Formats: sequence, structure tokens, C-alpha cells
Amino acid sequence: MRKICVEEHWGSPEMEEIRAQWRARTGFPVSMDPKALPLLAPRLKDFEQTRLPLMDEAGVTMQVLSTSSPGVQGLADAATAVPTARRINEAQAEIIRKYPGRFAGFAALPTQDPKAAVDELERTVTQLGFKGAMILGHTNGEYLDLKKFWVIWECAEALGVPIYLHPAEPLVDQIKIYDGRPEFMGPAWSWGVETGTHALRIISAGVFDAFPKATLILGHMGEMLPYMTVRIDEGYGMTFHKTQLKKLPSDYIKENIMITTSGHYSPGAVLCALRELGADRILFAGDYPWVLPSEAVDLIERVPMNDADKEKIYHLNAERLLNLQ
Amino acid sequence: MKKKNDMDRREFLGKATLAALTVPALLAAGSKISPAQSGSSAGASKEGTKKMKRISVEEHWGNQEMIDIRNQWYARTGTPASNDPKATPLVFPRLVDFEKWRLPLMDESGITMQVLSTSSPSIQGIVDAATAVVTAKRTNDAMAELMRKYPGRFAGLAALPTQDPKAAADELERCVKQLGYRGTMIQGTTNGEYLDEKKYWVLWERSEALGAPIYLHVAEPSREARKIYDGHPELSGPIWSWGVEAATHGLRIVGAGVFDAFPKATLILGHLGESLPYLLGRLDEGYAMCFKSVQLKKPFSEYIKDNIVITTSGKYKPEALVCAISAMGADRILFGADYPWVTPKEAVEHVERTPMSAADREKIYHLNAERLFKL
Repeated sequence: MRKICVEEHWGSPEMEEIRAQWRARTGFPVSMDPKALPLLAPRLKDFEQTRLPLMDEAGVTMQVLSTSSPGVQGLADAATAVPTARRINEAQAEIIRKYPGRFAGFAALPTQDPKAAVDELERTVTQLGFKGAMILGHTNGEYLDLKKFWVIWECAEALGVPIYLHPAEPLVDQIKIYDGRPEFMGPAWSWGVETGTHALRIISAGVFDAFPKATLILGHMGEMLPYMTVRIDEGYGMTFHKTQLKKLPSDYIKENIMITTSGHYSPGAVLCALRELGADRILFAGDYPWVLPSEAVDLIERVPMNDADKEKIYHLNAERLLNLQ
Repeated sequence: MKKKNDMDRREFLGKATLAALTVPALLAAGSKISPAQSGSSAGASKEGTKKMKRISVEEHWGNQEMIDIRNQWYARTGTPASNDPKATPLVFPRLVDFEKWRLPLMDESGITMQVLSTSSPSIQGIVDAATAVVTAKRTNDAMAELMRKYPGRFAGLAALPTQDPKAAADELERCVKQLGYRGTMIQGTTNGEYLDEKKYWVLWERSEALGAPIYLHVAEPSREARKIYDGHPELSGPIWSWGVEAATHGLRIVGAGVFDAFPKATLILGHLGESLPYLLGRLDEGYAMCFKSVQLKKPFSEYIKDNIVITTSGKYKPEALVCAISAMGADRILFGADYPWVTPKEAVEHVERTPMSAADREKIYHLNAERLFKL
């Protein structure tokens, strides 16, 4: 069975430099312990020593590549972001060309200038064959529901490509709730909260009423949303501040959001999402190099499901959504 | 900008509505709505389980004092009102009432017993310890009176003056030993402080010694984490922000090593565990990657499975309950509605629609509560 995994990061010295500058500029504390994952940095940059062998070992046919965090969203200004995104996308296109059939790509976008982001999305999709974009959280505190970013949604819908919203750190002045408990800043908890909230902002701003064919991809089993659908609808129904949505919030979760299995280890959660969203809305992903291809496959194999659903999750959904042959 | 003004006006109207709330007015308003309009009809579930005891454990009540605390807390903190009383007209009448709504609704759905607790923000909405101590005592005595008045129908979780942790521990002991309370419900932070801080460990210690669990109820985020809701007040409240706050609070308690120090203590989380059961594998993995404030003795998720018990309060899909059972085991799940926000009938329907064995249903409906609360 073909296996296409769709949240697979790569890195370069330039991306490491972006991360270092972002940390220096924001003062965001270091919460991840590098000693816990000694192989991470080498695996990000490598393709032949470990990535392709690990893919082969687990039967992963193709990785859809994206940058590592914070990516271009970690840059302060548009003037730097625009050429950096272009350079990174060119480098990624080169990797895709070098290993035919093994890789596809999501573009990095300079969201600091929404119009330039649109141009870069269009350029990378039509000229470089990219399959959509990955945006790594907020851009200097601005979320993708703001009207200034709607041109990106409009363009993604017109091109028929999805936007993958990747986790990011919250703003540095918003982390007091983690005072003294750095262990919850990162994949364990804060990233999911940040990304789930970001997605709810996009839904309730009416982005998918304006662009009903746009698709948002959420990793990590949908950043909790599939578990919460009824409570979200119920809470939305009670608030003073209802926005003018045409449908229930959970309808957009089911119709405009696709989720991936990246970074998860609980079959019960996959089963919950499978039953709630349906097998057509779930994409296979690892979150390489944080999760190895074999671990990602292991999760799917431990979930009781029929072969037809497994085919959808492993490759058919990705082929349809990303227009892969 | 028009939208903003609109919002302010609606918010103001909402606050005005809340401020005008008095118990007699609420009861009168409730009596204008006939049971036929209330959407409650008999026969919630006809299949097979009629005789099974049902004990629901997140069931709020209120009195004038609780409503006043809530209004003062809104005024003092500037917390934006999120829930529109017009969207849920029966919530407040049902909160204060016992005989017109609560008991008939319980009977209609075969709820044998409600484990009562106060309504949010309760004692945690008070600033100073002196006021909190006397208010908690008065509130607990009033709730004990309700339990005595309807024998066998109600048990209670005490309200505690956490503003003075030692007084809170003493009040828990008084309530358990003298008034027959089964534990406590704490409504989020106390003036911005979470229950993982060392000053509160005296409460965990007493809770463990008494075998009286601590139910951590949802609350509005208190420490700066609200910027993400800028322009989106609709995401505050039960829809999202409350769950994030309660789950983060629960994680802080685990991460601080409270359950290494007090291994027999139990924390109860409502709302299907505030999403944590969906995330166990990711929590372990993420925890392993980060710098830790405390070296815990066991893998992270073991504390969630061993020291946390979750309830079915709030509205969820059967899929989510199946997920919670697979993550936590049926022994760790209690039946709860979140009355008056969720009716007993809706709570029963949720459990009835979820595929599970009759033995597990029995555990969730009453056996687990009987064991945990020594009922």
C-alpha cells in the first residue's frame, strides 16, 4: 500500500539561523531539551543517510516536505521574509527534483506581506509544482483570520491547494500560565492550544463562508478539535458574541478542515477522529524528524479500521487533496 | 467599529440582566415557562437500563449569595460576560430551584442522586481570606441543609476558602467529618494562583488523608493568556477557553509532583477530562522532550490514569466518550451532567448512545462514584 506522509520537516543552516534570531528577538524561553533528541538536527538536514532509509524501512512512498519551525513566520519584517521564503522554496524544489517521486512540497510564505505571500504561493504552485503552503502559526502576533490575510485564503481556494497550519509558540507575553512549568510549553500542550485556538479564530471569522472550497490542514489529530465538536457548537450557541456564520462551527471542522495523524500515539484518538470526521478527512503524517516513519505507521496499524479506510488515510486522500498521481 | 459597539452594547445588556437576577425573580421567571416548553419529555432512554442507579457528580446549585459573588467578580475583574442568558433561559431558574425543576428532571431520567456543588466562580471569586472563610462556611451549611431536606437524593462537594489554604483544609475536614461531604469543588485559580503552588499542598495532603477528592471546575483564564482571543470574544467560555484553562491547571498539578507527594489523592476533571484523554501519547512524548520543573517518579500519563478521574459533564459525541474510555479505562469515568447547563436527560442520552458493555455502563453511572465518594 502506498504511504504518503504530509507533515515532514526539513532544515538548513538558514532555518537554524532564523530560529536563533527569532529567539534572540522575542526572548522566548528555551523549553525543549536538546539532550532529549540528539538526532533531531542531523535528521532535519539529511536526506540520504537517514531520511530515505527510514522511509524505505517503513514503506513510506513519499514525504510532503515543509520547513522546520518557526520558518519564515519567525522573521520580523517583510523585506527579509520575501527573499528568504523564495530562497527556501527554491532549495526545497531542488530536493524534490533530486529524488523523483519521493518528495512533494508545501511552500513557505512571507505572510509579513500578504500580497507577496499570495504571489509566492502562486509562483511555487504553478512553477515549482508545490501542493499548498505550510504556515507556522501567527506572524508577529497576527492570526490568519485577520482580513489582511484573506487574500491568501482567496488564492489558496482559487489554486485548489490547502494551507497547513503548523503549531507555534504563543507570544512571549502570553505564557504566564506556564510560569515555573516549562514542561508544558511545546508539543505536550501549549502548541496544541495555540494551534487549536488559531483554527477556531479562522472558522469564527467566517473565512470558510467567504471561501467555501478552501481547506485548512491541522496536524496532531486536529489539535483537539475532533474531541470537542459538540461542546464547541454548544458553547458557540450560548455566547453573546456569535459571529454571523452560515453553519455550525463543527460543520466547518468537518467540511473545511482536514486533519493529519502527525505527532500522535493514541489509537483511541485516531478512532475518535475517524468516527467523528470520517476517513475521507484524515491524512497520514509523521512529523519527521520528531516522529519516525515507523512510529507513524505503527499508530495507524494499531487502530481497528477496514482496509478501505486505511487506503484513504495512507494515500488516497493525499492524492486527491494534493493532486498527486 | 460598528461591530465593536454592538458587542459592547450586548455585553452591557448581558451584565444588566445578570445584575438584576434575584432568586425570587428567577423562580418566578422559571414558573412562566411550562415544562412542555422546556424540551424535557419523559422516556430519555427506554432500553434496559431503567433500573440502574445513576449518580451524577457535576451538578451546580446557586443562591442569592452565589449570584452576588458572581456579579461582584465580573465587575471587579472586568471579565467579559460570555454566556447570553437569553440563549439558555432556563439555566438560572433551574440553578436556584430544587422542587419545580431539579427533582422532577432527575426523576424523569432516573437520576438517583446528584452530587451538588456551587456555581462558578463561587468562593474562588472572592478576593480576601476573611470574607472567603465565612462565606464558604455559610455556603456549605446551606448546602448541607439541602442534603438533609431531601434524604438520599443529594451529596455534596464543599466550597473552600482557598485564599487561606490552611483554613480551606480545615473547612474540608469540617465538611467531611461533620456534614457528610464527599470532597470539594474548586473553581479554577484563586486570585491568579494555581493549585500546584506549594502553599496549597496542605489542601492536597488533607484531601488525601480524608479520602475526599478535589474536583477542579472550569474557569476563565486568569494569568495573561487572553491576547489570543482579541477580537474573538466568542471563543471565551465553554466553547474553548474554559477547557484550556482547566486542562492547563490540571497539567500544572501533575507536573508539580503533587501526586508523587500524595499518591492517593484524586483530582476530578469534568468535560470528558478537558481534552486530556485525547492527548495521552502526545503528552508523554512532549513531556519527555522538554526541560522539567520536577523529576516525576512515573511516566507523565500514568498520573492522568492513576490520580485523575474524569466526568461526562458537558456535551460531547459518543465518539469522544469511547476515546476517553480507551484512554482512561471505564473505572476512571464518572457520570456527570453539568446541571443546569446540561439536563439530566441529555447527560443520560450521551451515555446511552455510546457503545460500551453493560458492566462499563454500570461503573460510569454509579459504581465508580460509590467507590470514590464512599456513597
